[in-house]
Amino acid sequence: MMRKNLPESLYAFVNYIGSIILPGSMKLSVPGWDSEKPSNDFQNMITKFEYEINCFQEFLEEKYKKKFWKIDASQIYDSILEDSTPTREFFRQLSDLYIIEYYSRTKTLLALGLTIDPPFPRGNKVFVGDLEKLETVFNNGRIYK
Amino acid sequence: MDEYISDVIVIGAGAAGAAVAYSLAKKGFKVTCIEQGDFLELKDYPSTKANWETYKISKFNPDPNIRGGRADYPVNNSNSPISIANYNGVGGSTILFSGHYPRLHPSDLRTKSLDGVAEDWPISYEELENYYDRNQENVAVAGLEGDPAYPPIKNLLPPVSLGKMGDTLANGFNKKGWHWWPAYSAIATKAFHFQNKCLNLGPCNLGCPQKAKSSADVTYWPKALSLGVKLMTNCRVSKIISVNSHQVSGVKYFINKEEKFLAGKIIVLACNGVGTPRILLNSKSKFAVDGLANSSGLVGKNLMIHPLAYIEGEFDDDLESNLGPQGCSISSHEFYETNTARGFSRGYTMQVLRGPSPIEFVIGNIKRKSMSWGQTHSEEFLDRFNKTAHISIICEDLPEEINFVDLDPSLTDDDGIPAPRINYRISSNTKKMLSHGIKRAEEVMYAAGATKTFCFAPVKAAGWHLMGTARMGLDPLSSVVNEWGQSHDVPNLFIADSSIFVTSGAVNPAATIQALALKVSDGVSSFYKKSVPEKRAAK
Repeated sequence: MMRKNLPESLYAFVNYIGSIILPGSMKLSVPGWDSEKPSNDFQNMITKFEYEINCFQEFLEEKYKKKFWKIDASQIYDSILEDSTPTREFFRQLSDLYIIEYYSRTKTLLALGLTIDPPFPRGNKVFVGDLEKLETVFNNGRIYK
Repeated sequence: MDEYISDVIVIGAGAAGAAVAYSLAKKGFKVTCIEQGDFLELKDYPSTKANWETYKISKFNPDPNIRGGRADYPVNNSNSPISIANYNGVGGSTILFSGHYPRLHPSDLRTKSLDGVAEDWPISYEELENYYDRNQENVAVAGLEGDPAYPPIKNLLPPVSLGKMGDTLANGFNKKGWHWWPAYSAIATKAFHFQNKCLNLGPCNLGCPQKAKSSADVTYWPKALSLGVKLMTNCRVSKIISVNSHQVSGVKYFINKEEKFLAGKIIVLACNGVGTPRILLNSKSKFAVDGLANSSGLVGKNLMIHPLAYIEGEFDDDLESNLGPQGCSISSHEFYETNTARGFSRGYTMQVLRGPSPIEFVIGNIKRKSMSWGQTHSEEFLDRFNKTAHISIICEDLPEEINFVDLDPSLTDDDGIPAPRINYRISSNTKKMLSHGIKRAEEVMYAAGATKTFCFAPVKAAGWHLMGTARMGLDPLSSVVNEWGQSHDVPNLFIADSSIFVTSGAVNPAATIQALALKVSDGVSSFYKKSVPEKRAAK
């Protein structure tokens, strides 16, 4: 299990950030990030960012003069969005991982009314369209040289 | 032991390699095709798996530098605003292409005569048309006859469904009084040879497990193999060997890190507009000090990529945007031909694309800050997903020698072969075209009912169409190959891929690549009959 390879503090950090950026919606019955444990794939990918995550934590602690776990969630949220944050580019990469993980979860997909089975062999019904609308195009005549 | 000597060695099993191998085998030639990648099997396709979207950022990413597979070679894109996209394997980039499969316009072959720019092709549209038709005997192409943007095109399968989004944008084009037509799509909308009927899976750009998309592995390869073509996979060609300044004898290639030699009477390169000059430039010898077939100095030069602009419109209604073949719905050639009043030469296609899948949608919107993190995130997703329409502007890229491929002095692939380096900048003509295209596409969006638009150019990860780097022509001083794809310098060396394009047109090149490959096979056949001493056994 990769879970063993992810240090506790890092595991807690990524889950905390996940719950801030993807809290879900009680109103819409969409589960939040913390409704499920992150997959092994996600944890694997996260370990590659350990150095950057530590830098991000240090940046926040320096900025707010507090230990990370004492910083208010709204302040962390603001820092994530701030363009001037030195770790902004890192967070952009990290955010892709959160999105992929979150939007691959069965519970999330079902709550959003999306299909959970792969495209093949299911397929899709697609509106054929009204080709009668081409009459005006056709009547405009040849346009190639 | 007798050495097996092929009549023809084809390097690359993609769109061009498949067509040329099949055509030559059908003529009775002993053909060996050598390919650095492998066949994909049904189980390999992401669309068969629950987490299919995640493959877009890893094993099926179009950028070989990100994909980093065993068959991939690195590309140095640092001197280009557009990065190279491809797929290495049997079927080549057609495995991941979206299947948009239009022909060139007649004017594309006469830009010098008509508009005073670039060069005319050494062949006529009528001649090319014959090969387009022959290609369509083997490749499922959907569309609709009667398009006023083209001379008549026959034998098309029924067009792909427009979808609500395509139908909505058609209203916008009609309000503007502009041309639009169902997209020419390399998609079997009904069963065709080895191809099954399209199920509208959606992500054609992750490969088609249904075998409905006309990728070369399901069109030409089954036929080529049944005709006896020997296909060597997982073999990477490093160089072509010269025996004198006018003749090549075979290729050196790596398999499992071991270098070997394969002899052939004729060599056909089919490695795309980057892979082909890479091999030619790496095939330097005392007979070809500047690279093979390069007495003109034009190998690698005149790279054309088709810079793209992207325009997205937001609508109030659910347009079921992400349903249907990803790259094929409708397209417009309203601004294809030159109109000097627009301030630029030549023109562009507006290609309507289907909407993104959920993960792509969120990643894209978060990156451009049009969707929030936090409490409103889910609500915003539900409010906007599938309510977008998408247009890509495909600009004709004129050939310029300052845009070129050369060999990177330090970067190599796993076998130590120098990697290609892309040196490319977008011309002022193209910049004007991109800007014009964005404005017109926004007009269409609003005419169709969009409430808001978002656009950008150029699209960075869009260097799929790699053309012009070994162009054809009648004059050996200003071209690399003749009108049959035959090297001016080395008569038993041919090039069958998009390297030989003289101009780029403003359409996806796959149909033209495969049509030209059939023409090149005629050239190979004719040369063999005249010049290769041993007669091949009649089949």
